[in-house]
Amino acid sequence: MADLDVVEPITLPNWLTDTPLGEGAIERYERALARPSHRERWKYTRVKKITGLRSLPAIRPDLSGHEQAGIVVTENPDHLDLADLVSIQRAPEAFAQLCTQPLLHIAVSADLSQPLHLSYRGSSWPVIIDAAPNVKLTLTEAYESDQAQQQTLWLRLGANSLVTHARNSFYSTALHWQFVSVQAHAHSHYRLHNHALASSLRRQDTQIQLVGDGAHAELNSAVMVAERLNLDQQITIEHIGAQTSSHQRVHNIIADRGQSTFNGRIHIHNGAKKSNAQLSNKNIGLGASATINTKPELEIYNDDVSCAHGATIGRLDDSQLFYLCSRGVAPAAARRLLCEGFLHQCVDGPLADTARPALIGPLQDMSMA
Amino acid sequence: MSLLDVRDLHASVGEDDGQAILKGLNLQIQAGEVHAIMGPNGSGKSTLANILSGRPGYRVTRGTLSLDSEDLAVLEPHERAQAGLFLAFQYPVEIPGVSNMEFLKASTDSLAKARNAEQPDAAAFVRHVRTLAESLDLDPQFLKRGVNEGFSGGEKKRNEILQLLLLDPKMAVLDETDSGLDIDALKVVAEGVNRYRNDNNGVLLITHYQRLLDYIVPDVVHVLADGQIIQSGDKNLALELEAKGYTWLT
Repeated sequence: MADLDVVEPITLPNWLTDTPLGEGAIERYERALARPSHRERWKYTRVKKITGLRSLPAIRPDLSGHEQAGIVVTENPDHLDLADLVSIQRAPEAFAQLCTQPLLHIAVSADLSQPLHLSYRGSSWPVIIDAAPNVKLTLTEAYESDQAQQQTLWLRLGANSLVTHARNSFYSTALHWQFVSVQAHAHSHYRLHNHALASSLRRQDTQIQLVGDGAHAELNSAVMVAERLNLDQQITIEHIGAQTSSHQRVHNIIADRGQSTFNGRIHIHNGAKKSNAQLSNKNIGLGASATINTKPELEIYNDDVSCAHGATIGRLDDSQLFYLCSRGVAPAAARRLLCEGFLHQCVDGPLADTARPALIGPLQDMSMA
Repeated sequence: MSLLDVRDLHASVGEDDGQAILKGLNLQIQAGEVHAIMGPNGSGKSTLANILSGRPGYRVTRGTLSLDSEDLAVLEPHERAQAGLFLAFQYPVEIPGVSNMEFLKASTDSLAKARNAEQPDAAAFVRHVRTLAESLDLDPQFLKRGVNEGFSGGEKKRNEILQLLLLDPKMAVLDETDSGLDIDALKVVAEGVNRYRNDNNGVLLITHYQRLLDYIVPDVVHVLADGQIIQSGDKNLALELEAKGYTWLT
């Protein structure tokens, strides 16, 4: 359970003190920590584990693809208006990270023909990516360290931009926190392809705000939780502009004695008329001692919307298993095939080819009896 | 020696106190023969198919069943398939995420391994499967999709026949393969079954209607009622049933 009373105080760095974001930031930070929504986010994971990562030395992530025309990379920029992008209220612990480390800002002003790639060798500086209006870009992330680590990433999508974001989180079994905040302006389109194995604790926070009219977000996530490991996903999509849409599909497999948590919150604001939100979370437990927490949530403040959400927890389908076996496939191989198929429904995007074999890797070591 | 030999088969559905469905069924099919089993709803036709294939939840309470002298009752479903039994499902299952081609390769490889045969070369295998699909009027693009995912009823049944031709079992049990098929699809499916049949294998057709037997001519027709075969005859028995129904026999 959460230990919300134990949160370290923060001090504002110089670059924040005279900015709109810095104004009253300490008070807003403290108020945010007391909010019910904050407590709900940390219901199954001890927040101290994550805030403790702030004491680790953070390094600048390696970048590739940044030599393309239209990209400007700046360390600790002198002037950066983050007031509309960084929300202390929604994620105070991510704001605290922003106060602690140097900052990497990446501005993209032209279509990219090659992906922009972020490679992490451990805990990272916070990264902010600004995609200008009408820009198309692909962002990929990889994690190369097996040490405890954290990354925080803010993405701002200009009007009519298209950002495809893919990340494969496979190599570390240590404590790992990944925070992504997305702000999508009018008619922009954000796609996230999330493929992950669990670790001793892998915590994935994804917060998407569809602020502009017609903005769209699409999230596909495939997660394999091996025995005794743990993955906690907290996804919030806020529909703020009119005619915004979101589509989420999250498939998780949890091995015996593994634990997964999924909290998918969709918040339809008053002004988000004619919005459409779909959320599906499906979980398969492979043993009697798998722990699966799932909570899809809808919070709607406009009558003129279309929303659907659902979550399932179950075992592999007996009739599918029998069908495969009736064709000569042994039960253990049939179960692996079904698990593979279940995960692969949510594997797509630029890192899909490496994600497919990695996701089913833990299944090869399991008896599947 | 019969290819399929079923003697005094009693079977029930469910746990120990499950309902008895088959009550002393006898059936012998020789290599090269096609048998049809017809019967009213609830007579036990699909239960027979499920018992033969080893579907969980179906129990043999008495009697024996063997394929090519191998006792089927002691085998798991995958072992029965490896022994040469094939069940074409009445309601083929959809498996999203597992591509048809991947499934067919896994199945072919499993059977080859069980028979100590060489696993087929991947490229040749794909070509072979595509050719089979085309011969059954099944768009080869379907092979990339999830198993039976989004297939129409007719496409699912043609996919079953594709598997029959690919896996080439000793004994094929077709459980109401004709249900839900239009006349053109029925002809395609029947042509597939006729292509499969030879002097070394056997076919057991389970059907409600005589229509299928216009295209797959059986050697023997049986009438199943209340868990037993109550009448057997040649193909003319099916015509008689079509004309008179089942009541004159039960």
